[in-house]
Amino acid sequence: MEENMIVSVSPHIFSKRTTKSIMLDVIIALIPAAIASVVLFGMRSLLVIATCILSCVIFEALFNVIVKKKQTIGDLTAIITGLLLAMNLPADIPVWQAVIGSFAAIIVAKNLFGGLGMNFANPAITGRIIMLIAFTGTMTSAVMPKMADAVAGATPLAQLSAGEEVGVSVMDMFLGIRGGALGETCAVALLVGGVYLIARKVIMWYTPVAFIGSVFLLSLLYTGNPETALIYTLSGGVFLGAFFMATDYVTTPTTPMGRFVFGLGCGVITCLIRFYGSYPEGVSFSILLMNILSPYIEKWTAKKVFGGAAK
Amino acid sequence: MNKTSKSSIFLKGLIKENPVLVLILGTCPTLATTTSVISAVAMGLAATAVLLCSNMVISALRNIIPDKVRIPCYIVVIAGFVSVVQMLMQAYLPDLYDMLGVYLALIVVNCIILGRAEMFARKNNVIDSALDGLGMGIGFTIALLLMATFREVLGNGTFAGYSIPVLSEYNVPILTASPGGFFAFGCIIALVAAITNKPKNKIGCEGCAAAETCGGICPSNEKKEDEVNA
Amino acid sequence: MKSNVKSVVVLTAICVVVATLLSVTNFFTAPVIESNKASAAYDSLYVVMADAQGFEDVELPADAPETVTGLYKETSGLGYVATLSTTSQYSSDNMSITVAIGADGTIVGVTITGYYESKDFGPDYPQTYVGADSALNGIDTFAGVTYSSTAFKEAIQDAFSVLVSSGAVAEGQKSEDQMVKDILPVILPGCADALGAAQVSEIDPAGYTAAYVANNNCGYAIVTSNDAGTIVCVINAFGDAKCYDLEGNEVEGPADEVAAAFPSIAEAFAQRNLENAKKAVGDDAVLTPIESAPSFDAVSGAYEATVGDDTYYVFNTDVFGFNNTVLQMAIVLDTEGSVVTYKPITELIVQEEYYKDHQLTDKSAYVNQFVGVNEATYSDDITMVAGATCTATAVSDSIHAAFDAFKAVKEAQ
Repeated sequence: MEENMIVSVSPHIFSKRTTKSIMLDVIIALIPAAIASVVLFGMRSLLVIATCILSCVIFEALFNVIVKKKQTIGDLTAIITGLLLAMNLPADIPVWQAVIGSFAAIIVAKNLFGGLGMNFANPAITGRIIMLIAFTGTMTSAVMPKMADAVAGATPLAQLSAGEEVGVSVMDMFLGIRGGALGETCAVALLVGGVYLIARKVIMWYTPVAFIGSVFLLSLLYTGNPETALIYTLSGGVFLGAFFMATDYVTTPTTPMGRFVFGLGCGVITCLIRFYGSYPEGVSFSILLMNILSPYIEKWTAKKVFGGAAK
Repeated sequence: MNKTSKSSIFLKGLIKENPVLVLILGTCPTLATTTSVISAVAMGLAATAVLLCSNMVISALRNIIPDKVRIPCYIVVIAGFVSVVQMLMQAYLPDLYDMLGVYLALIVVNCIILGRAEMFARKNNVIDSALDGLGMGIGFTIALLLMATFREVLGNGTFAGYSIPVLSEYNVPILTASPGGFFAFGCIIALVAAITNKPKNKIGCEGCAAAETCGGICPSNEKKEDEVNA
Repeated sequence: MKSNVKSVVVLTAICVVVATLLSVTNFFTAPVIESNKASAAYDSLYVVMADAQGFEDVELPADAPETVTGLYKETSGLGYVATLSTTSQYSSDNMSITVAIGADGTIVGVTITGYYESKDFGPDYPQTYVGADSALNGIDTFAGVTYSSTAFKEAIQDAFSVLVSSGAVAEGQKSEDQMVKDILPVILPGCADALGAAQVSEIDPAGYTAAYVANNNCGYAIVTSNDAGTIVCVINAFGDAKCYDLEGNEVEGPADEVAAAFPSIAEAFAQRNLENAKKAVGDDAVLTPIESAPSFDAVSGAYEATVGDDTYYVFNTDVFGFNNTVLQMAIVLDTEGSVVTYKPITELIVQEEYYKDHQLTDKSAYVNQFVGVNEATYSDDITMVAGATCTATAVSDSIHAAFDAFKAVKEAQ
């Protein structure tokens, strides 16, 4: 399939963009969050990140060799999948479970379907959900950041009620001094990465804004309190999901309206699962569900070809 | 109909035309009872017993049963044998009976049994049908055993209830649940397909494993023309 | 037409033949199945009492506790077997237990036949009960799996109570140690946790028989004796002391002497309590420590506070929350005994309980609802929060403690 030459009519525009350069940008955007995770959770997070990246790359390389396809690890997507998966795991996850999760993410969710461009759902999210179901105990143990001793193991809502100023507690949420998975806590780092990606035109702002905005608005409606709504928005994997996983090229719509609808849908489903469902975190399931709906969203929001007839 | 030798009738049910892994029949008990090796083997043997008996009886009656009512007749015969097996198990093997639960009764609608009755028993004599039933049944049991070993060893760290030293710490419980079951099923089918070197990508009767015995009465035959044209 | 007739005939014939076959099989297998079922019911009984010859059902008395689901008497006089069903709040289904109690009143065997708790206390824990009599001396709950093992222990006690009250077996003897532990929650209410068990640690007895300090710093319990027998002296945080016998009756005893032998808790925690009190009542308050408040509830410090022209009372309460972690609160009451401020010093909801499903989303509103409440108007319903029972119980305990201490202070004035 890679050998096909696509012939199209002129004019042509030459761009320096390759899959590799785009993925490089994404890796750069994730570095602040990775550094934040090491600062917050200690050196073990480095072990988890390294394990996931290595496993993903090795599995993909092996797979290509076994089924005799062209080697694709050079396009860096395996590294991204590994890094994103690691960001979703708690710092104390056993190494062997991280390896199995990487296997699920890269082989089952991506390569078995045909590799890059053929997968129907985001591999990192699918890997995380498989791990959540397979290893529920270790995945749901909320690891508190190491520097939280000073804050005596404070959990987000507890801070508010202890009567301290709202600014402090929301700031803690913003900086990531709370329990959670490696990459999802430090909202600041994720925001920096997300802005970088938008500035480099790797992603468009529609999806993240729609996602985060709808989560905030729905939380506001549900709790009636802007502070709590802000805390809901900053907790869980919302920022990580909105900037890095709901914007995956392969599994999300391409039209601007489609992307907006995608983000909106993710936000709505996340909030529904959080408030009325039995799982505390709804981001991964919402992204997966919206991935499955993407083809229909795409069809629905497709632009008419200029001069073409209406369907 | 091919006049194949007696031994080949028996052997094809084991691997080449394995009912579960190649013909993809009887997947419901496959996924349900393979969480442990003991229940998998029990199910396999129960189904084999029923398959053997029903094949023989249906083959013996093949000239008497009119075409119009053949399906109800087959079902009555099969259900009768299943009930007998059920009662005997409940009386003399109560532990196995409890382990299999509702899936023992579901053998009545197991596609393998009705499928072999349709495809083989009503066109061949009693001995051949018996051999076919035996072969298919044992192939079913082997397939179940493979699945159950995979799922129980890796998913639970035990084999037939005996704990395995290293694996019982590092088990992956999802394999004993439904998602893992489907995954294991897919892996084993892929493995068997790779080993038996089936002809690839042939459309129609040439690429179908059941071609030898079905006599061309396949509904997908009609669809073939539509696909080529589309 | 002919083919239709033939179809019907053949089908009917096959049905008849199959039906005959089935009824023949049923004739042979039905009795076997029946006897299988009957013996299976008794199988678990043989597990706990291996030498049994046979069992007969015993009718349960009308007032038997709900946990006892069945009672069987062994036919050769070896004893009794009871089947129990109990649950804790952390399980999806009932825990089924079978226990065999010999004719001498001690446990012969115990086994669990169904276990759905969220935490496991392991296969060895039930075996620690073998050989114990109805007093269950020295048998504690299992650390870390408190609720499930408490449910287990209480179920076994229920089995004993049925047998003892019907005279089937003799009651066991409690050791003195046990009796002290049993009476402590009654005479020193502050040391009792949410389940009513005394949470104390042993300390150097300083010459007396035994000494315990409450894990939440609300007081001491010293075991000593007078001419009548063993007595227990309880000392609260302020040094007030009383003596009781093992039945819980107040007796004369060397209360002051005993109190003098142990350091005052209020003084030891004075610094901390003062800081906490300030947090509740404000930095500009003038705080004077209260010397004596003879209540034995969960209070570790008390102050009279003057803010401007108003006088208040501040009580530092230390209560047991989730997993018996000690929660500190400071409660401010006005001179009439109504709550002015309820200030949690430590986090109300300990992390583990936080991650479960609970309804306590607005802590400040929860805390504010106590303002203006006094002993007459307070009811435990205000504190109850679904899904955060331990915390709610702790809060309720602290409020009761504050009201108790307030009453004691008022009476002393």
